[in-house]
Amino acid sequence: MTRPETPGRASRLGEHHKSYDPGMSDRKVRLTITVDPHLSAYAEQLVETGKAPSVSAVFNDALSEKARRDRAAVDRLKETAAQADPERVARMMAHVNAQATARRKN
Amino acid sequence: MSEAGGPAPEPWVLDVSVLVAIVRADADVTRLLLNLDAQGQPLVIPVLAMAAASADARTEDADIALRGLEQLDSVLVAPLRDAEQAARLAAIAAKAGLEQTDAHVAAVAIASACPILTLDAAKWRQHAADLDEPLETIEIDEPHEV
Repeated sequence: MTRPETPGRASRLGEHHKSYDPGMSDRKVRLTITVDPHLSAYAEQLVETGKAPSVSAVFNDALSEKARRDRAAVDRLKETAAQADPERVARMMAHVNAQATARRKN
Repeated sequence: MSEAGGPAPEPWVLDVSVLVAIVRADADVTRLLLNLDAQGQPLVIPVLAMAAASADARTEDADIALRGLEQLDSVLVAPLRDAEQAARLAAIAAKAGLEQTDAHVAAVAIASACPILTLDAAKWRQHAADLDEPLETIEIDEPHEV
C-alpha cells in the first residue's frame, strides 16, 4: 500500500488517528513496508522458533501494542484533564483566545 | 486551509513551562491544551523542550503524559534536524542568554513566525529584546479583574 505523505501541517496528522478503527482488524490489508534488517531477522527468528505464526503477525502485534500504548497515553491525559476547574479553564481559554484574536488584527 | 475551509490558524510553539505543567499533571493546563486541540489549534513542541520536561519529572507518568500529548491531532513535534539548525539554535542561545532548550523553542518560533504559548511571558519579553527577530508570546493566565 502506498500513500503519499501530506507535507507539513499538524492538523493533518490527525487523519491517521481518526481513521483507525480496531473493528477493522479482522480484515487484513496487504501492504509493502521497509524495515531495518535486524528487525526483519528477529521477526523471522520468532517464526522459525515457533514463537510467532508469521512475520506479518510479528509486525501486526508490534503495531497493535504501539496503538494500545498511544491510546492509553491519551486516555491518561484525559483523566488528568477531568480533574480541572472548568471555570478557571474557561477564563484561561478566553484569555488565550483574546490574545490570538489581537494578533490576527495586528 | 483549515478543515472548516477558512485559513489554517497559525501554529503556537509550546515552551518548557507548559510542558512541565503537563508532566506535573496540572489538570487546568492539561484541559486547556485538550480544548485547544479540539478547536483545531496547531501546537508545535520543540523536541528539546520535551526532553527538558521529561528531565524535570523523571517519572514514567510524566513520559506517558508527553506521549499522550504527542498523539493529539493538532500536535506536531519539531525535531532538531541538522547542523544548520543546531548552529542557529546555538547562535540564539548565545545572543539572548538562553538555555539550549529555550533556544530551541525560540528558534522554532522565529523560523515559523509563530508565537510561543507559555506560562511565563515575562521571561520571554526579557530575552526577546536581545534578538534581531521578533519573539511573540501567548500567555496562559487568567485575566485580572479591573
